Formats: sequence, C-alpha cells, structure tokens
Amino acid sequence: MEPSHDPISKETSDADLVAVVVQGDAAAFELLFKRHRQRVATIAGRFFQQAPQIEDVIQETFVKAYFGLSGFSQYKVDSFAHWLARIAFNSCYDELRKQSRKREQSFADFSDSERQELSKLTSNMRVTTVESAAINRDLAHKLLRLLSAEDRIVLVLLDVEGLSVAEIARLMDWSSAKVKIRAFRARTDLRRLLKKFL
Amino acid sequence: MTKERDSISEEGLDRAGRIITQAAILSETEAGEIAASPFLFARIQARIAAERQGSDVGIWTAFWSISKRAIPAMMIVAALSLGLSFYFTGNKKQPAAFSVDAYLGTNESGVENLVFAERRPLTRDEVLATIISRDEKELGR
Repeated sequence: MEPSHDPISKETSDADLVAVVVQGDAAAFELLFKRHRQRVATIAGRFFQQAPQIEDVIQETFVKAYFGLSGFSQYKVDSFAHWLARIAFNSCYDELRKQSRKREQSFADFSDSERQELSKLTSNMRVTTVESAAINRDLAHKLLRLLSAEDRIVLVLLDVEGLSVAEIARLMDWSSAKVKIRAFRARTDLRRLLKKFL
Repeated sequence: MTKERDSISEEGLDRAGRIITQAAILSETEAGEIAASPFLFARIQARIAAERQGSDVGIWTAFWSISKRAIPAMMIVAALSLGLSFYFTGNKKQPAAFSVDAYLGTNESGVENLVFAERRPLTRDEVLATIISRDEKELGR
C-alpha cells in the first residue's frame, strides 16, 4: 500500500510545507509566505518606516529563505518561524549597513522645534513610557539614523524585542562578548547623541 | 554627589534612548498593511526565477569574465619570461677553459702553441720532426 500524501492545507505544519517546497511545489511556498509575512514585516518595521524599504526587506528575506530551505530541512536546528526571523533580522542589518554607507545626516539637519522636543525628552527624567514621552516617530528615526547599523540592531533587539545577550548572540551569529561590547557602545553612543540636545 | 548626579543623568539618558528606540518602530497594523501588498509575492517569485536563471548561466559568465582578464595577463607573463630567457642566454659568454698556454705564458712560440692547442700527446715522429726542422734552420743560418 502506497503512503497517502495529504493535499496542502492550512493545517499542514511548517516543516511539512518546507519538505513539499524542497520537492518543487511552489504553491506550498506561497502558503509559508502568507503565514509568516506579517512577522517579517513587523521585524522590518523595527528599523524602517517607508513601505518600499519594508517590502524590500520582506522580499530579500523570503528569497534567501527559499534558497536556504534545503539546508533548513536537512538540519532543522530551529523552528521555521525562528529561522525565518533570523534571516529577517540579518536582512535588516544588511540594509542598515547599506544605508549607513551613504548616510550624510548630521546635527545640522535637526530643526529648532525638533531640538526642543528632544531636549524636553532628555531633560525630563520622570518620563517612563512611550505614550507619556509622545515623541514623534519621524524624529526618533532621524535621531537613530545617526547611529551605526550595529548599534541600531543591538538596541532594537535589547529594548524592543527584549532578547537576552545569549539570544542576540545566537540570532546574529555573534559571540556573547561581541554582543556585550556592542550593547555598551550602542548605549554610550546614544547617550552621547542625546547629551548634545540637553 | 556629582557622581550620583552623573549616574542619574546617565540613567535618564538611557531611559530617553529606550523611549526613542521604541517610538521609532512601526505598529503591527501598519506592518501588516505593508505585508498584505498584492504584488509582493509575485515580486518574490520573479526574483527567485531570475536568480535561478542567473545561477545557471552564472558559472559560464564567471568563467568567461575571468578568462577575459586571465588569458592576456598570462600571455604577457609568458612573453616577458621568454624575452628575458633569450636576453640572458644570448649575452652569456662561455667561461674560458683552463689553458696551459695561458698559464705557462708560451703563446708567443708558434710551434709549441700549435702543439698545445691540439691538446693531444705528441707523437715521437712529431718530436723528431720538430728537432730536425730546428736543426735545419740552425744549419741554414
């Protein structure tokens, strides 16, 4: 008796879908895309604001994932979602590095009102939440663009994703010592930036 | 006291930094809207197809691009090495062999010179002929 192959359905697990895609079924890859695109877009949204940039990161992530599927199905060290998130963060990191090469932003680009807003935020020590700070997102982006790609990725992973040093090390394929050094430098750089607005 | 104030201000700056980092992120809803873009998967499929096609012709393209540079470079190197080898072998003089004539300073005496130049032991007839011819010369004088 031949083994029966279930048709692809919404209940099919990620691992089974990956196996089907590796055998050459493109429809299964579309299902994987639909399942995980939101998470990838959310990761991209941690670093980028504009829709075209986020779409580029999504595209880059899924293309890399597609060509790496055979490797994933062979080793299966992570869940598919976790493995895809690793690719997404690394794609964001590559994109940030590309941007930082052509970055020419400086303090002179900040208007008086923006400087005042940042000054208010940095001088108010009792501020504890984003809502109470009510800082403009564009302004936050503008300020963070002054940091290096490494600084940004570490700060987001620590402060937004809430990951530990060990988790970041595993995610970015860095050593724990490198993560600690990067985190220290990132905090120092951001403090130095904010001090200029005090 | 100053140290305490400094540490407080550093804490405050770190807190402000966290707020700024969190303020910069896009909401889940906004990210979801971008992810639901209708042509996104079509773009991914097109990119996969293009990369797959590119990897097939990629090997030959890479080989051709390397060959285009490597072949002329190798020809230049070969021509240079050939030229240099001709130059050095052409100019090189053969080292002079050890000459007894030069060593004994007998080059001026014609007969002995000829005998030594032949570099073979003298036969008895030759020695006799030399003595006779010398005697005849002396008698002639």
